[in-house]
Amino acid sequence: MFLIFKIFPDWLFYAIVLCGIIGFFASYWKPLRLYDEIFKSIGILVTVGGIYLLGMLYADNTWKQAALALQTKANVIAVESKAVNNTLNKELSNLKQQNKEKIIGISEYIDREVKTTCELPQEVLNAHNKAIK
Amino acid sequence: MKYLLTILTLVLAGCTTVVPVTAAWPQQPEELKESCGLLQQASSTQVTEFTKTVITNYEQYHNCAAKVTAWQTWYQQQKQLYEELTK
Repeated sequence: MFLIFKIFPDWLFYAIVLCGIIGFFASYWKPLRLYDEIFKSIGILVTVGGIYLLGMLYADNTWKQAALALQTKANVIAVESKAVNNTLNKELSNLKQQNKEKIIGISEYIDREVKTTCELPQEVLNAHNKAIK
Repeated sequence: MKYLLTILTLVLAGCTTVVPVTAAWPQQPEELKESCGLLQQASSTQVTEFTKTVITNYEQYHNCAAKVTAWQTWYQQQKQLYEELTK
């Protein structure tokens, strides 16, 4: 998530800390006694900077792991969500079929059992059709 | 001092980040994409024909009611799944 960790490998930041520590202790080396102040200052700065970057790296890796875990969970839930849809589709489809068969059965019953030829008043039809709108 | 404030702001801005997790919005079931059908108008004054129109309309109602129940079930189950994700 930090761009710097996408560009540079992780081992580089450990190397920075190591270089800072080496630079600090190098100031005690006799041949470099003349520049000991410079080496000490730079060594401390580089070490501190490197530790800060390592902290950032740790935070970055922690976030990456959390994001990966969350993404894995999200993928699992997406699959479960599809399963819910499939179950509902099947149930609705079956229910529609059952309703259709029931109505066909009732229609056949009406044709079979109702022998009357009586007619309803037009007002009944009008009231029914009004209620539908 | 003014540079220190700028540097501090930049450093803090570098700390902000977004979690790159994508969770797609759940798709609605195919059966629920259709609207409820229209009720039939009665055209015949014959008792048998009128009754058939009425029972056909009852079928429409039952199918529509089943869709509403299915929507409620779908919402509850998707909500449960979403809550599992955010636990």
